[in-house]
Parts: sequence; C-alpha cells; structure tokens
Amino acid sequence: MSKKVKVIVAFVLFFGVVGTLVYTSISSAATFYMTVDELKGNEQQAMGKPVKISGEIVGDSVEFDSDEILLTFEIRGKDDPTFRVPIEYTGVKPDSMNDGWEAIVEGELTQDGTFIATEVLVKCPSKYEAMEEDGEEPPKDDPATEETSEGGN
Amino acid sequence: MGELGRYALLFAFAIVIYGIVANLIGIKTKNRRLIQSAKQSVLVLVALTTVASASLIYLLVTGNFDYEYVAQYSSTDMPLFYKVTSFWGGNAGSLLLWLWILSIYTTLVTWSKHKDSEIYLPWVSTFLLGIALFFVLVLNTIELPFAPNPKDMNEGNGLNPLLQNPGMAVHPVTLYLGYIGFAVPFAYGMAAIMLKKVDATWLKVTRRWTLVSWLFLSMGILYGSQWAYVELGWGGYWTWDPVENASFLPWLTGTAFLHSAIIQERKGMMKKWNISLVALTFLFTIFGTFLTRSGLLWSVHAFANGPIGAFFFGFIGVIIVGSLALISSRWSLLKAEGGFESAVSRESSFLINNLLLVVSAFTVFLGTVYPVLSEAVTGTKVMVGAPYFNRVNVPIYLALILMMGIGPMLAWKRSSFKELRKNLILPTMVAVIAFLLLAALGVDHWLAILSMSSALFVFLTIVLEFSKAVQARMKATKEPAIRSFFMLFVKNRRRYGGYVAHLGVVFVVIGLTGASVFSLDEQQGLNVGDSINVGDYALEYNGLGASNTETKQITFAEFTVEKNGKVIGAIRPEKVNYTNGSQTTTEVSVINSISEDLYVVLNGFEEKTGRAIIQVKVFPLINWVWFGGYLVIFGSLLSLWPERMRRKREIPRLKMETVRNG
Repeated sequence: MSKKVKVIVAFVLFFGVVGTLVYTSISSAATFYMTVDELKGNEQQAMGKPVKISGEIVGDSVEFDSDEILLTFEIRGKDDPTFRVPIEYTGVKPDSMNDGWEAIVEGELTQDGTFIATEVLVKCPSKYEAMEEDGEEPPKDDPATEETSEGGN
Repeated sequence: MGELGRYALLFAFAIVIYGIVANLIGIKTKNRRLIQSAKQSVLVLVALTTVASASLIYLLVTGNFDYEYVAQYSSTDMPLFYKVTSFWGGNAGSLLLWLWILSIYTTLVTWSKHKDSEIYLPWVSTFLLGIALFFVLVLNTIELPFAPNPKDMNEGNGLNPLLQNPGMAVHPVTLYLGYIGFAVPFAYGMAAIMLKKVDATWLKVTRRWTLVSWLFLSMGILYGSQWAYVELGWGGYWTWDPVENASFLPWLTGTAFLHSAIIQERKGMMKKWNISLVALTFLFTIFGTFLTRSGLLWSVHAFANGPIGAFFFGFIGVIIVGSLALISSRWSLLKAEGGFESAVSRESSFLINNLLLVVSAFTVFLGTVYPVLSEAVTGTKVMVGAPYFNRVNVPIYLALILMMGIGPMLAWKRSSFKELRKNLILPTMVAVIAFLLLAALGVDHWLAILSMSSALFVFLTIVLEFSKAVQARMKATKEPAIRSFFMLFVKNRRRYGGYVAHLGVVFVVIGLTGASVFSLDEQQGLNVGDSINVGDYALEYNGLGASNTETKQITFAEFTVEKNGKVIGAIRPEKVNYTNGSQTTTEVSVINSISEDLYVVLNGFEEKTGRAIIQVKVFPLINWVWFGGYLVIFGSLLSLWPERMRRKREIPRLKMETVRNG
C-alpha cells in the first residue's frame, strides 16, 4: 500500500468512528424542546419521549413538601395564560420560584397531563432588561412562594 | 458625564473610519505621512474609548439613575466594587468593554516594533480597526450605554445577587481579555496573506499574543467552573451549557493553533492549516460573544434578545466570507516547504493532536447549535444534553491525553520504533499494571480506569522527560541536580513550561474522572438531633440559626461532621435573602481536602419545627481539577516569561539558538 492510501484509510476510519459516535449519541441524547404555548394542542405528540418545556411559573401554585421532597407547581403560556401544565418534581426547590419567571423543565408528559420532571431550571434573568422592554416591572418578592427566613435560634 | 461618554463614542466611530481609510490609502499610495496619521488615530481611539468607559463607570458609581443602563445594573446600596463591575453587567456595557480592550490591544500592536513591522503594521491595524468598527457601530446604533432613562427613578435595580461574587465579577473580564486577544494573531495572519508573506514571521510575532490570550481564556474557564461549583448551589462545574461551550470552542481551536504554529515555525509546514485555524479561532470568539449577547440559545446564563443578534450574524458572515476569500486567493502560495517524512514523527503527532482538537471543537459546535439546526430543518427544536457531549468527547480526549504522553517522546522528521519503545516501555508497563490493579480492585467503570491509567502514563512520560534532561545537563555542566532542573526553565522556557502545562492537564483529568464518576449524592429531611451518613462522613444536625446584615438575612443549619468516627468540625450551609432584591440564594458549605470535598447544601427548612432538608455530596479529587488548572496557568506563564536576562549573559549561545529555531 502506498503512503497516500494508508493516510486516506486512516482518515476514513477516524472520521467514520467519530461520525458514528456523533450520530448515535445525538439520537440517544436528543430532547424535544417546546414552549408551553407550542405544547397546547400537541400533547399527544409530546408524550412518551424526553421533552423540555419552558413556561412562566404560576406563583400561587408552588408547593413544596419537605417530607417527601416533592415540588409541585404549574407553568403557564405566554400567549395563553389560562393554559397551564402541572409539574411534579422529586427534588429540591430552586431558589427563585417567582411568579412570572421562566422555568424550564425536563422530563416526560404523562397520560393525565401531569409533567414528571427530572430537572427544573429557573432562568435567572442576568438582568431585568427583557422584562423592562416589555414594559413590565422586574419581579418583586412574592411572599407566598418564598420561605421567610426570620427567627431561628 | 453621560453626554461626554456619548460624544466620545460618536467621535470614536468617526476616528475608526478615518484610521481605516488613512491606512488603506496610505498603503496604496505608499504615503508614509498618511500611515503615520492612521497610527496616531489609534491613539485618539484609545483615548476616546477610555473616556467613554470612564464616564460609564463614573455614572454607575455615583448612581446617576437618569441613565437607563445605570438604573438597570447599579443601585445605591451595592458595595463600590460591584458598582464598578456592573459596567459589564449588561449588553451595552459588555460591548463597550470589548471595544475598550480591543482599542488598547490595537494601540499596543500598532505602536510595537519587530522584524518587518513597517510593512505589516498598516495592514494589521486596518484589520483590527475593522473589527473595532463593528463594535463602535453597534454601540452607536442599537446598544447605547448612555441612553437616557425614560422613567424617573431614585434607585436602581442593582446587579443580580448571583453575580455579586468576586470570582464572577472578574470572570467575564478574563474571558474577554482572552477572546479579544485572538483578534491580534488573526489580524496578523490576514495581514500576512494580504502581503503575500507566507513565512512564519506573523506566527513568531504573535506567539506571545496567542499564548496570553489562550492563558486568559483558560483562566476565564477555570474561574467560571469554580464559581459555578460554589455559587450555583448544586456542585456543577461543567454542564455543556451553550455559554460554557462558547468559551470552550475558541479554547480548543486555540490550543490546536498553539501546537501547530510550532510546526510552521520550525518546518515551514501546515501554512494553510494555521491560517485557517487562526481565522476559525477568531470566529469562535465572535460567535461566543454573539451567543452570550444575542439570546439565540437559552441557557442558565439567559441573556436578552434583541436586534443585536442580526448584527452579530452579519458580522460573522462578513468574517467567514472575507477570510475564506483571502485565504483561497493565496492558496497556491501557502504551500508547505516540505512534506511529512514519516508517520512516526513529532510533526505527525502534532497533526493528530490538531485533528483531535478540531474534531472535538466541531462536535461541540454541532451540539451547541443543534436546536437551531433541527428547528431549521425539521421545524421542531431538539436539544442535545450533556450525555451527547460526554459520549462523543470523552474518547477524543482520552486519545488526546495519550498523544500528550507519546508526542513529546518522538523526534522531529522520523522516530525509530526502537527508541520509542525504550522511552515508553516503563510508563506503558506501569499504566497497564495500574489498569489491571484498578480493575481487580473492583472499579467497574472501564472509562474511568482507562482515563486514570492514561493520566498516569502521561505523568510518567513527563517525569522521565524531565529526569533525562536533568541528567544530560548534569553530565554536561557538572551542576547539581536542583540547579540543573532550575536551569532547564531558564534555558528553554517554552518547552519546559509546556510540559508543566501538560502536567496540569494530567491533574485536571484525574480530578474530573474522580469527581464525575465517583461522586456521592444524598438528599434527606432532618429533624434536630437526626444524622445522615454519606460515604465516610456522618453529619449530625444541631438546628437552625440566623444572622442578619444590612442587606441580607441569612439562615443557616448547623451540623457536626464526623469522618470515620472522628469529629472534624462543624459546617453551616446557608440560605440568603437579599432585602432589596427578589432572589434567594443558596450558600453551600464545603470541607475541602486533597482527596475529596464534602459539599453540603441547605435546600429548605421549616422554621416552626426546625426541620431542614439538606443535600450532601462528596466529590472525590475535585481539588485536583483546580490545582491542575492553576498548574496549566503557571506552566503557560513560565513559557511566556521574557528571556531578556539570558540575552545579557549569553549572547553567543543565543545567536546559535536563534539560527536553529529559525
């Protein structure tokens, strides 16, 4: 075999391996992403596969059971605030579960419409710029959704 | 002050255009006076951007809420330090910082002197000013740092409490210093192409710039992970978040460039590759700024949306088309001066290293933009998470690490298998024994075993390399061992500094393997008096406590920690409420040791009963990651350190070496 052929074979092998690796990993690590508004009407499609959904937190709905370490809350659509998805998450309550803040949940939608989340992320506005552009005030502390931290010893 | 800044930016726009035009006409007509004038315009530019930045900082510090930017990111109750750092809290300020740093770099470069500098610099300065033009345009049209506040406000919003952390305050600046630094080798590369000077001059002149930029980028990444580890409250240090990837991409291609530049310098090979690589790296730095500033992809970093995305998109397009056109127009000139003589040589090991790094960058890029790609193609957004990145990249990095051990052992041109065998037999045997031992000990994670034994292999090759060099030097100079070791760094900083950086990477690899594969994680609700056992640790819960300062209310839970039955101290993870803000933050409590971190998070508590929900994690070897990171920085600093001292003492010797290197 000439040197050139050897080099070409090595390259083909290398890129073949990497390509296969990329291809198989992408298909197995893929998560569909949609907003709550996009989910509305497409629930059947979204069931039974890993999905990420983003929506606004409904402040009044946030409940945390500290014995079970179970967090339940709802997220609503931006276009249609009446459309809500109930979320169940076994795990820690993120710090900033404020009304109107955007949450991104990863998990699976069950038949009864409840979303069982494996991960909850509250998008921290690095600034309140986007909201101000919409003419809204930056969110203020909602006492119903935060633990108070006075008292103690 | 705000008006001053606004006008400074406006004039900066004019002066950038003047500088570019003066340079171009000056080059074309060979008019020295015009070129000199363009050179002076760079000084004006740096003065103007300094005035603009200073006035924004002044407004932020004095809390002048008549300006929108100040009202958004500053507040009267923040410490002075964070008032200053809120400079880069938002889009407009970050871009101003970009422009400021770029104009400082441009001045340093334009007023420097080196071989052929009078031919190179007008072009280099033109390209750098061209980049500045984009930023100054954006700052005068869509992202205005000095926009008046439409509302009447007496108090600002203040910087996000999460960003009020010394590390996080400095992290963006280090990253930017690195990002922007790559503009310099890029401008030189393009200038070399314009001038049809395709030798290694541009690489030699910019070697320090490249290394410094790479160093800042590495520091930025390191600080970012350390910050995420302690501050985000769940012990994540790397999550393949789009914004993290944005800083990692230029780091990968920059690392490749640092290595492949050596081949062009020494052998006159890989010219096309180097020029393309530097363009790609610069492109990634702009892409990174674009990602963080445009909101194209969501991430925990969540930045604002806006028309700025379109601007960046256009700019990236211009760079791609421009550099492709330039490079292809000189394609035939960029021929290598020689070919690869053997598959087993230093040259080919650099080639493999480059291939691996660039392929890794490509897969990371693909994963990062996959949501956008899939939406464009299929209409649904599909994201790929950490499993994709890990599965694809861990094998690539393992190969890279092995190359890091083998590569430096190979001779230039061709290496004999016999010699290679002699050099590698000991490290290989020890690594194999370690592999078998770990497997026999019941470690059932084969990738972890592989990565640990590869790291050991590289560690041994580096130690051997040092010991061989020390022995050779002792023989030649009759110096004692310690002095010989020290002199290695005096004589050949670049090479031995590089080995120290490699050693740092070895520690990072060991640390990452330990912390990712062998970490423990327990979560439990505890009543006062209860205890929890995790690994070797037992934590007994003593109850809640509180302490309040002017700006925050802190609640903590106290635990007595025992390790293997011995009390080693108390630990107090906290929840902090900011009195002015809307956020609660979690302050974790960590007990560090060389072997592992005990990492405790207070997830929630009930005031009435005193019940606390905590998460206890153990991260083995995590401190090796930080140590390794700092070792990489130290090694790069070693290779960067100027060699002037030596020049004075050993002039004849130096001359000889320059000839050899050139």
